[in-house]
Amino acid sequence: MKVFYYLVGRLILLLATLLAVSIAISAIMSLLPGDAAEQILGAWSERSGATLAALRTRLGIDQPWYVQYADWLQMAVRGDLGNSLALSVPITPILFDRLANTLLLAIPAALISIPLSLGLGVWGAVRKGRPIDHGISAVTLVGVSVPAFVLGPILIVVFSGYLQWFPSSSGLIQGSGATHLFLILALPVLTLTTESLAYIGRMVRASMIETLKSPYVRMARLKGLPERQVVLNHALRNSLLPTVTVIAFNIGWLIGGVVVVEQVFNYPGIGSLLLFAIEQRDLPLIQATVFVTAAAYCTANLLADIAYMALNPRLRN
Amino acid sequence: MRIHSLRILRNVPGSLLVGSIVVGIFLLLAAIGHWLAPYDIEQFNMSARLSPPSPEHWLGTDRYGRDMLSRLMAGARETMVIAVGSVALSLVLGLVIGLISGYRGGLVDGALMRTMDIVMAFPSLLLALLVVAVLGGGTLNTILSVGIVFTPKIARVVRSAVLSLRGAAFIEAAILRGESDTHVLFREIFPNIFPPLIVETCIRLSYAVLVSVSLSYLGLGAQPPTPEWGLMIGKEKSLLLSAPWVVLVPAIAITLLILGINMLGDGLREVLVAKKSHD
Repeated sequence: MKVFYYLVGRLILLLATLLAVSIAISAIMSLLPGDAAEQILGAWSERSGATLAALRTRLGIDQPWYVQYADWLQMAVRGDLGNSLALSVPITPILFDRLANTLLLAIPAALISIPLSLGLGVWGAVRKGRPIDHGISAVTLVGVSVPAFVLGPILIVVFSGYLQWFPSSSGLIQGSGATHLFLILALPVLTLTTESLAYIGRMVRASMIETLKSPYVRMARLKGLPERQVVLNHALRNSLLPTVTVIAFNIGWLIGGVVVVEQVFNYPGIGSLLLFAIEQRDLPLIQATVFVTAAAYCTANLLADIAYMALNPRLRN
Repeated sequence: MRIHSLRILRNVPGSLLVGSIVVGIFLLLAAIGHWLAPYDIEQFNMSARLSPPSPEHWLGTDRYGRDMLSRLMAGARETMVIAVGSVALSLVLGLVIGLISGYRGGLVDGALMRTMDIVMAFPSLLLALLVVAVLGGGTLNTILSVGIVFTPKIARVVRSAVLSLRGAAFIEAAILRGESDTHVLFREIFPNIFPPLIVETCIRLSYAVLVSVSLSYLGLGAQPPTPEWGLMIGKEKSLLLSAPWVVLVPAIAITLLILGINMLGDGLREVLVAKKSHD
C-alpha cells in the first residue's frame, strides 16, 4: 500500500513539474523579440499595420502571454500542440514521427551501453590499480572528453571515408529494408553508445570501489565467501543504486547528445526538428519540441527513482 | 627547499599534474595566443586555399586560405572566455542562492529550491538552446545561457555543504557573538565549503566547455567570423572527407582541453575530497 501511495505521489509531482516546465517555456518564449504574425508576413509586416493586427487577433497572440499559455494548455491536454508556422501543418503528428526516429537511435544505444558499462565499471573496480583497470580508466576518460561532434566525424572519416562500410549521412529512413536501416543507424548509434558507455562506466567503477571498501563486504570476505560471490551478490546490488541515478542523469545528457549526433549525421529526429524550428523562428514548434523533450526527460527520471526504490530494500518499507 | 617541493610533487596524483599542465597551456594560449599567431587570422589567401599541413602552414589552411594554426591559437581565447565566463556566472549565482537557501531554510529555501528544480527539469543542452534561441547567439548570450543552466547544480552543492555545517559549534558561537548574517555566511561558512565547491567547479568547467562548444557547433553560440573552435567544426563539416585537417584540428584541440579539465577534476577530487574518506 505504501508503495502505491509513493507512486501516486511521484506521479502528481511529475504532473506538477511538467506544468511548471510548460509555464517556464511560455514565459521564456514571450521574451522573444518579434512574434509569429511578423514571422508569417515577413517583409510585408512593416507596411501593413492593419493586416498585422488582424493576423495577431486570428492567431490569438494579441493576448498577454499567460492567456496564450492557458489556451495552449487547453489544447495540449487534448493532444493538440498547435500548427507549425514554417510547415503550416499540425505539429503533433510530425513531432511523434520524429520522436520515433530518435528513439530508434537512443534505445539501441542505451541497450548496448548500459550492460557494457556495468561490466566495464565492475571489472575495473575489482582489478583496481592493475593494468586492466588503468586501461579501462584511460579509455573511459578519453571517451567522456571527446564531444559527440568530434567522435562522429572521426567515425565518418574512418568508416565511410576510408573503409566505406557505412553512409556518412542518414537522410531518409522511410521505405527501406532492414539492412539499409542498419547501415544508416550504425554510426550514429555507435557514437551515442561510446559516449554514454564511457560516462556510465566511470561512475560504476567509482561507486563499486567505494562499496568494496565497506564493512559488510569485508565481513563477507572474512566469512570466506568466494570473491565472485562477494562482488556479484553483495557489492554489485548496492553500487547499482547510485548508478541508476547516474543513468537517469545520463538520459538528460543523451538527449543533448542526440541533438548533436542528429546534426552530425543529418538524421531526421526530434533534435534536428528543434534546430529547424529555432532556425525558422517557428514559435509553436519550438515550444512543442522543447516541452515534449523535457517531458521525456522528467519521465525517465521518475522511472529511475522507481527503479532506485525497487533496488533499495530500505526505501521499500 | 627544492627537495621539499619535489617531495610535495611526489604526493600529487599524476592526473592532477598532467591536467594542470594541459589546462595551463590552454589558458596561456587564451592569454597570448593572439600575439604568437604566425599569420593574420582574417587574412584571405586564395592561392593557398585548403592546403594540407606544410612547412609554411603547420596545420594547413581553410577554405579561404586562412592559416589554421593561427586561427586555432586565436580561437583559444574565445573558447576559454565562454567556458570560464559561464562557470564564473553560475558560480556567483549558485553561491548566492545556495548560501541563502541553506542558511535561511524554511519558505525561502523551499521557493529557491523549487525554482532550481524547474531549471533542472530541462536537459542542459536543451535549456541552453532555448535561452540562446530567445536571446540570439553571440559570446555574451552564450555565457549567459550556459551560466543559467549550471546554476542549480552549484546551488545544490553549496546548499548541502551549508546544511552540513548548520549547528556546528563555531557557527553557533559566531551567531551568539552577535555577528551579522553576512559575516557568518562569508567569513565562517564560505571558507568551509571550499573543497566540494572547487571539485564541483572543475566538473562544471568541463561540461561548460562541452555545452558551449556544442552550441557554437550547432550555429547558435559564437558567431562568425570568430575563430571559436566549435564554430570552426560546425561551419566546415562538409570538408570532412576532402580536407579533414580543417575539421580535425579544432576537434583535437577541444578534446585535449576537455581531457585536461577532466584530469584536473579527477586529481582535485582525489586530493580534496576522497582523501578524507579514505580511511
